[in-house]
Amino acid sequence: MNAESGVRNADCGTRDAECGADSLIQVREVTRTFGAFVAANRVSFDVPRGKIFGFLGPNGSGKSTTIRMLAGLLAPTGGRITGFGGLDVATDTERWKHRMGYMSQKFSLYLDLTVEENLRFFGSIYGLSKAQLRDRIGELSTRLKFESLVHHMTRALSTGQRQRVALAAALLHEPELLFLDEPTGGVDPRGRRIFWDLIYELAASRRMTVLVTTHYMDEAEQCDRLAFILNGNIIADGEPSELKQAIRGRIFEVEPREDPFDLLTAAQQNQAVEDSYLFGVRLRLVAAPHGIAETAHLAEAFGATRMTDPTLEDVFVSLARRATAATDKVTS
Amino acid sequence: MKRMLALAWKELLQIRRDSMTMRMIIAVPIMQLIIFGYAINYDVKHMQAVVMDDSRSYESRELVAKMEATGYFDIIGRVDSYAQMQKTIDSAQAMVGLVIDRDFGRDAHRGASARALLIVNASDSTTSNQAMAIVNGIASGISARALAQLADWQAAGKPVDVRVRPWYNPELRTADFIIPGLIAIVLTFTLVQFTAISIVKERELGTLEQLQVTPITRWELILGKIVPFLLIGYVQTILMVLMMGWLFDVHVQGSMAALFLLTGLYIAAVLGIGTLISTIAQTQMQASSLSMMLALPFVFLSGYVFPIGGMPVIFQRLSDLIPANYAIQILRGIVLRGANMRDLAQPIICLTAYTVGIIALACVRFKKTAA
Repeated sequence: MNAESGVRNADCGTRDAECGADSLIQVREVTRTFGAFVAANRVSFDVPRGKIFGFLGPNGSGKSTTIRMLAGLLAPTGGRITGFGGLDVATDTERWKHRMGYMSQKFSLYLDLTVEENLRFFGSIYGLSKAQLRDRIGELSTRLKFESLVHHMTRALSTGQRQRVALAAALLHEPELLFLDEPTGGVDPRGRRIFWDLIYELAASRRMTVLVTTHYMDEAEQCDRLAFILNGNIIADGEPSELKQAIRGRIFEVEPREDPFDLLTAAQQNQAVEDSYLFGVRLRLVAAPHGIAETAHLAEAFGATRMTDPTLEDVFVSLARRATAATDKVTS
Repeated sequence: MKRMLALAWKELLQIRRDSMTMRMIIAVPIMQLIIFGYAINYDVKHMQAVVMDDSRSYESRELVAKMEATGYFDIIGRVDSYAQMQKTIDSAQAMVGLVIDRDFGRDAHRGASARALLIVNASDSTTSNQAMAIVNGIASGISARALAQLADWQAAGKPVDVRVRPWYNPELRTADFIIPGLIAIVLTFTLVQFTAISIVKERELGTLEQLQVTPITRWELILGKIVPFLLIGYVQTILMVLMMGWLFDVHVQGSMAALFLLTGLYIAAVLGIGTLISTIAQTQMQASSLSMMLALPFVFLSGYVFPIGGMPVIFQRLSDLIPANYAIQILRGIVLRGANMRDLAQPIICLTAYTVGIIALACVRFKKTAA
């Protein structure tokens, strides 16, 4: 996170003019503590309007806490969340919730109601009239391909089908912002693909903003913008290509001549290597910023080497290493 | 309001589809009405008695005959020795033993004090008190007659004649005492559990969170969950009032409107308790156990089966905390005595305060745990 790599640091709070230009939601210095535990530590970022914004982080990183605060489910201990042209989630909660939709990994539907009854219920909670309900349910069931299931009991639906119905429930009132909290959990790869195609189409055709959390890197790859959170701190925020740019030229792929596990052990002991892992039958070494030459040398010794493009996984591991090293330095 | 109704309607749809709950709504009142109405009877008849008659006189036979004639005692046998009598009572073949002194007949005839001994298995205090009271009554009857003869008393009546008039329940039927209070007990048993489970279930399933991301307010959410159960509570109340009349001939003496108004107040309190439990319980199982645990003090400390006046002071204060206590006072008042709202001002005020308090507390707790 330095200027030269194009990765912007998470310090929007002090540079509103730069970040807030076309942003739908502004998160400023938001903190949430649970007793002594700091789940979110002065988190600041913007969710750009009409974009797909990916929010990434391992379990327990503060990802869920942050999303729940943005959705008005949890009150921050400090800081402000504003959006939708001047609303504050803390004071305009009801209006805020009218303009957002939320779908969690649980696909929370009433299993003992039919698909239609579920959708009618959630629709009427948002104040939709009978005619609106009929139109919207008709439109969404066609678009999300569950027309034939509307009279089925929700209990009888497969995970993928439930996911689509839950998505429809979150879209009934045509929200400007859609929260997707690990939306593809438990859905097979084909189902995930169909789901993402839909999200793109919706985001593009209706200029809907999507805020998605995921731990699938291939899903993160497709977002317009990403924020990484670790131990309650935003450690990076930028477009996927920008983020990858930061470690481009530091990834070496080796065709190992010896037992790759021995080589892996050797690489892990070398200070110049930031990360090393097996990639199929090949070995990948990520050089630390100061150890590019040395890592290249080591890689040559291991076998036939070529430079390769970084994945988001590489980016994340590299960022996490440095963030952890930084906190270690501060605390020691 | 519209959102609250949407939620209430959804709730009713779910209840209608849940055949187990549907059955419980109807079956629990019927079952409890039958069990409590028929099985609980403080008025114990046909107590087994043995007699050891050493007197074998006209007077001793008269005493035994009178005892039997009350219908409260069945003479199951006669014994010749004290040891035999002890064995009969020890083995619980008999509950009561009557020992008539050898000189009973002669003494009675002479006008001296004729002696008999009543041995009672007092491990069951209700039954033994009753046995003792009845035999005492018979004895004083015989005494009064003997005294009258002796004094050649011609005046009508006894020297002291206390006439007893049992108001409100002239036949002293236990059912009259038990059945009106049962309305409060059944509502507690079913509704606390229904509400608690219905909320905990939504939390487990994640639908509660899904509701909380919608614009619905906390009050709409709680009311929407409660209103359907208020309706169910009324269905149960109507059912029980009707069955009270058909099966037990207990009819509402007071105003039906007051009965339903005040029952509604109690239902609201019970639903508040259910909501409160839902904020404590993590799983449906816990919600169910907690509700059941609560039902016990509601039955035993509310004055429903045991009079509060007979409890140690600490339990009397404890019973003040149980809303069923006030509901039962109100129900007995309206059903048996035909009391109006003014007569019942005190329990009504207490119940209102309790209901408001518990719902406010449930709302505060609900906010905390929902987050």
